[in-house]
Amino acid sequence: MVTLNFNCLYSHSLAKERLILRKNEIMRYMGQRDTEDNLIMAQTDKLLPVVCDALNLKGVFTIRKIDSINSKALISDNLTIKSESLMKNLDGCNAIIIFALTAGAEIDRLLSKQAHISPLNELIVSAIATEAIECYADIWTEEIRKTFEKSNLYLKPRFSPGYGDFSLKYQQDIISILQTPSRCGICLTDKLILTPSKSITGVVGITEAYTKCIESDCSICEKTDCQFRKFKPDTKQQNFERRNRI
Amino acid sequence: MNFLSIIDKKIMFFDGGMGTLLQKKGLKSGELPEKWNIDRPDEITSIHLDYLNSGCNILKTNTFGANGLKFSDTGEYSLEKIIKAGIDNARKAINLSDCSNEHFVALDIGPCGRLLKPLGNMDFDDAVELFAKSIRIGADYGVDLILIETMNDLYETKAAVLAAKENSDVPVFVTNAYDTNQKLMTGASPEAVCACLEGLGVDAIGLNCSFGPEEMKPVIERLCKVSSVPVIVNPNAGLPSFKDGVTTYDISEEKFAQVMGEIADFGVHIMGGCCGTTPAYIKALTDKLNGYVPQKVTRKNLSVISSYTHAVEFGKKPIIIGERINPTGKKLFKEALRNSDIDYILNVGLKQAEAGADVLDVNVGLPEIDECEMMEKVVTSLQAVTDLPLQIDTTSIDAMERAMRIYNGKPMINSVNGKDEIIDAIFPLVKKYGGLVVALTLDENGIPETTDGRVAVAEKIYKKAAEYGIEKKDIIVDTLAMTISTDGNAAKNTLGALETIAKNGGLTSLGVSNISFGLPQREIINSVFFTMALSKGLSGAIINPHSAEMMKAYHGYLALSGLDENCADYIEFAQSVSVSSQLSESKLKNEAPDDVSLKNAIIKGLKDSAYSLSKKLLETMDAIDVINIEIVPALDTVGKGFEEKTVYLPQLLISADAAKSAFDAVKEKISTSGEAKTQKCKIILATVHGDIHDIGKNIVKALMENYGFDVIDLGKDVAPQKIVEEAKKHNVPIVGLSALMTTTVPAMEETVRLIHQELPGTKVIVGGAVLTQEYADTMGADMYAKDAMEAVRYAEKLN
Repeated sequence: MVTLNFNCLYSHSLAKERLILRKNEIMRYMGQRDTEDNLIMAQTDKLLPVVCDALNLKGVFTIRKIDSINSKALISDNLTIKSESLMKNLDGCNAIIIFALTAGAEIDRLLSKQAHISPLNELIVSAIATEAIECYADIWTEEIRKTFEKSNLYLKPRFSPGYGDFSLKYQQDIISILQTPSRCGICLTDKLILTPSKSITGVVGITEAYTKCIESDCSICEKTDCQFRKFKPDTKQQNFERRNRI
Repeated sequence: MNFLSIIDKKIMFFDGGMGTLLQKKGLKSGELPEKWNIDRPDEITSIHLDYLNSGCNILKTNTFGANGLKFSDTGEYSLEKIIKAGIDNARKAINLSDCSNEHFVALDIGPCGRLLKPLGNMDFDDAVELFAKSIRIGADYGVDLILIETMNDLYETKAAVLAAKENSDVPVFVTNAYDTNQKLMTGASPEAVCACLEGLGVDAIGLNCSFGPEEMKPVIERLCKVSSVPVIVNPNAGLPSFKDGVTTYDISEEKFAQVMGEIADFGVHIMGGCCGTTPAYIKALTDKLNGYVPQKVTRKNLSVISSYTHAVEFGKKPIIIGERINPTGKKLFKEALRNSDIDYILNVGLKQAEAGADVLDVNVGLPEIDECEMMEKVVTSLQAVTDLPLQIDTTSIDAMERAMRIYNGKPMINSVNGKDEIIDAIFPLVKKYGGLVVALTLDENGIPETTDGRVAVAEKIYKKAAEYGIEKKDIIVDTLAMTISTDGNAAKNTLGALETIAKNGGLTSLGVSNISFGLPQREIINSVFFTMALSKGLSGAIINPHSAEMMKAYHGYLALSGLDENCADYIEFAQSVSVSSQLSESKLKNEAPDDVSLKNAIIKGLKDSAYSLSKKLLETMDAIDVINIEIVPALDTVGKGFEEKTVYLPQLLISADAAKSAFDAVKEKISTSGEAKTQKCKIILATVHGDIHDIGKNIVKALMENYGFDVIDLGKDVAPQKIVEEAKKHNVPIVGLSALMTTTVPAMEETVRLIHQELPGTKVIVGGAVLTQEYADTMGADMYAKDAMEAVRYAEKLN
């Protein structure tokens, strides 16, 4: 049985060997569609172990009780979130998980280094690292989802600040609640940019009503001309903005 | 108070985790715990008292997050009031306590919550000032020591330590938070952390938080092996983990104390706890180690330098110091310095790293440039792209100090010599910032001609260093290689002095290639001299790591002198030598067949072929024709494909890479033939203020350069005023701005407005993931480019 220990901060980390990176996703993050290009594939294969070596996957999460919720806002203890799109996502939930995950700071150093070697390398490293953090988030969600389902509790898809009308400013609350600077190294700049760049923060709803949690859906996003949009189902936006994914 | 005298007799105990207890008393998550210093002082004092009663000696004030980013200068919860109350609460607890132990109050300083550049957007100097503000208050209200804790970035740690050293006289302790990979989050190994912090004069170092004591053991062992100052261990009671839906804490009080007992045997002197360690944990710990006599703190006498990731030790295996970042005798390098072409300099560094350098010498002195500014730029930029430690090589004391201050690690310093004036300028810097110093054996009377004369200068420098509190281990003597072309005994004298110093336990280095100045086929002399010097005990060689002869001598020497176990490194080196020569032959066959034109090589993204084909064409064609007939049409074909969506971004970039190497051949031809350069107009590119993502800007830059524009890349997070200043200075007709986040679009708008106001004729192109035509119109930009090709096309039209 799951014991919902509210407000406790849980650390999480993942051995990078557990990641299974999808080449088609890496290509998509690069903007390479339809066709395979042998030279680009070869360069990606060359850089894959370099990126994996720099990965340091870790994060923090906490579970919070929802004290009250309506279609516009929720209150959980001293935290109030106003966002219609998030509330739509959290429909029927009585608790939320707040999480922050990162691929680590060494990825950003690697990006700087590769940018000086060639912008192609930078693009490839960025795409691989994006796939790594997305894959990590999926594995983390899956672990948690399985645990909760044993107690007939179900998870809603991940929902991040920046998505819909869920303002980026809530990242400040998330960072502060999870104490991420000291717990896992995720910091926020004054312009609300997460560092390390390959980091994701967000909210996951917990509900007693059975729901099928579908990640990786872009259908809600209005930016239909996005070159990173998934064909079916679609997903939005550039790699580092993908922390916003539902 | 003398910590060291107590520490050799018994373990000193820190308290445990304040946050854990505050939560139990009702602190809400996300609430600032430091406010309780003022709102609920009795609760804080009572927690301190509980810890004192469980046997601890050092109380951490409740000021972990008390910094200028969270608390303002004035008001009910001003920074000063928060810190003062924090200290008062701890002092009150000590007064109330009836324990007979020695008690100390440590000003607790945690991470500031922002990541420093280049990984984040906080300036190093701003971070120092931020910490200094809190530390000045702590020092004014009389704390006994400063504890800088839970730091997971070495650079931020250095900023906090400098702030502490510059603003207080009390001992400074540092504990870092390591990951399970035994590194800090930003990559530093325990040895690198130790080298840097000992260099800065920290009084005790260690680790805290992250995990429980058992998991900390490997890092503690490594730290104890290298640290010459007392080691501190403040673990968590194991973090709560979410196993099968049940919250579990890893370790009980008894188990905590038992493991800490084992850890004490590693040679630890100061122990306590972090998250989850309640007074019960500290009680169990102090009971367990009551009467325990720790090992004596010993000087480890290691000669080390470090980067932000790793330490390099001198005195075991000879160290290769790459000499190529130096303008002396290099036309292109000088030009790069004059044009602030940092990319060129970084590439020189990256190539040396690839060729096997352990350390990079950095000399950017030219009479006509501001060396201090350039040194800072180059050191900062190099540390963003390579993890090799740097040797700061300058005669400018200002440039030296600036570089030592902003360097992330413990640098190598090039150089001091026997002149009093130089000694008195350099050694105080070494004492303050740490460093391994190259000592040239020359003084006011010049370079002694004899072996004994040079040894005498070295002895004088050692003596003077000791007066400044700098140990012999941090001096590396350069006995000065002088050319044999004018003095047949030059090598003998140099090597004689080197041998004597090495035999007396000193470190030695040489700028090897000077030996052959004025002679033909210099590599022959250089490599033999290098081998001779190695056999006399050379510890560090400043050489060109691209020289095959030098690297052959080096790897051969290591294998022959028992410094290469199983000849493993030699075998790898030998293979790389033979493979690369075979490869280059097959490459020529595979990639440059007669029927592939340069144009096609670029379209297909064949980088090596593009270079060799370009070179071949330049034998019979003018540079301008190679560009206009082959390179530009190739780029146009690919660009058109991109616009028509038959070519995608990676393919566009791979062709850009190939075009760049074709241009490299053109540039080489121009630099030797003196043929006039044909360049299009200047363009400034920048990622706007507050934005730290620059991949989009880098892509535009690569394409613009290929199309012949003279790109001035101002980097990321660039203030509007700076962009305008540079645009004025270089008289540029086009500025390209990139923003990737909605939160930084206002900064872009401000930049556009400022450019149009101050430079009405200058056109502004804007782009980035969150931008749209509508946004661009609203802010008054001249052009919205949805991708890099659109930006190029627009610039072409204007040119």
